[in-house]
Amino acid sequence: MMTAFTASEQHAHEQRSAVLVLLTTAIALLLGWGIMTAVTTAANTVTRDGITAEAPAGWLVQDGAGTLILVVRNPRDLDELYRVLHMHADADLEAMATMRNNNRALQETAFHILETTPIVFDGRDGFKVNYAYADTDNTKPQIIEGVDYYFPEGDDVLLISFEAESETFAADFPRFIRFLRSVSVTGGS
Amino acid sequence: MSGPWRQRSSIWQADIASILLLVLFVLVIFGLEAWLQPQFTPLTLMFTGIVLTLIPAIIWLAFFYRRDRLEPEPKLMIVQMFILGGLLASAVGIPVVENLFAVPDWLPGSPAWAKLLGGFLIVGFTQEFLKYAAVRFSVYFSDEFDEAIDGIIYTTAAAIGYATMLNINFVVSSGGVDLGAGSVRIVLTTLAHASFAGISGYFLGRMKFERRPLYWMPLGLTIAAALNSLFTYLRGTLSQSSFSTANTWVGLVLAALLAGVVTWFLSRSIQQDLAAHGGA
Repeated sequence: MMTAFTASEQHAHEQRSAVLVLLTTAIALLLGWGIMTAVTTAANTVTRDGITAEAPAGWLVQDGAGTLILVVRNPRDLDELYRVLHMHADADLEAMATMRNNNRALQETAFHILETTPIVFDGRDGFKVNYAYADTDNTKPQIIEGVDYYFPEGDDVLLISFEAESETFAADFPRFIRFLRSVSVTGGS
Repeated sequence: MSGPWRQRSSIWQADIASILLLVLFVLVIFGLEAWLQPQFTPLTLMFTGIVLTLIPAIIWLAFFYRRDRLEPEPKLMIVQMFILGGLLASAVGIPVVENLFAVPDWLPGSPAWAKLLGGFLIVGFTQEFLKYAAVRFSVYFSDEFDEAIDGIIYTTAAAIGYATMLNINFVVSSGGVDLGAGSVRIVLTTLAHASFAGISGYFLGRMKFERRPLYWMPLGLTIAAALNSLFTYLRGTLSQSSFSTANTWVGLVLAALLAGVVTWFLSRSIQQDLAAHGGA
């Protein structure tokens, strides 16, 4: 194994070895990035009452009742959740949003509307409401941020909501957008 | 009794004393927690975290330092490596793992294959590379790095510094909850980081003083990263997916066994190296 080498040869050999270690680490991290992407974008198809969606893999899926079709919840952070509601359109989207916001203002502590705006999402007209409230159910009160997306579906309205702790809301939002894109009405109601 | 035999015997006694001290440390933390049931402010929590993690760090540092009895390394350089390991963990390792790759958000709930592979490629390689780099790009060029086993001694010192920073982070982020079980984790994590980095240190030392193929050092780092991942998997997964507290301890015992076996391998290789140089 050991052969005679000059000091400069040994030095160059060690340098090449160090470069190879750097390359190995860089390749490992790139592959790791691929695994992270694969895991975080993995999804399971969920179908309830004619609504189909791609829920993040490993998340809890709860059946709803009445207009609430399903709730999808992060098992590691139960405050992070998606709701899908299918309601009859009693009024235009903005009026329906106002009604829902008024109801929630009565139910939640310090419920606050942050922004309301008509939107076009993936070519679909809709209405968006950003809101926040204080969750006082836990031992340590925390601010929950949420967003409601209203989309007309014939005579009905599809409402897709996202809620998370205020601190993680922005970071979790892109994952919700993937979910939002996946929601479709496949039939029946 | 011959000199080397007496010397080896006294090292064994010191090792047993170290292990007993660590057991005592864990028992004292369990006892104090049950007795005082402490409530922490951010400041006292930080102070508790530092004290809790420094005690096992110092004991493990002494444990590995004692191995190099032929030509002990300067204590100041060992301390410098310890600090450098901690700084690299704080400035690079923890931000890369927790922020760039957001590992805590997705890895714990992943399937087993992803836990092992993600733990290996992201956590294992990041941590083991930084411990290696702490030595390779600093003390490696020093005249004090004059034996193959110095690779092990310096990387374990950097790794204990690295583990200390991880442990402080763990105590602070857990809010000081369940310090008794936390102290077991701290003791084990410190040993595991030291022993796995010792593997890459072993390869680094051989690389410096013997002609080894180019794949030698990447191979050492890969083995260290793989063991790192396996340890984290055993410690975390078996604990989290368990339905009883017995399984939690099974995970910890298996993780401890893994770290213990690697430490034994390192001690044995140092022993052989010393014997080859007439030190035992």
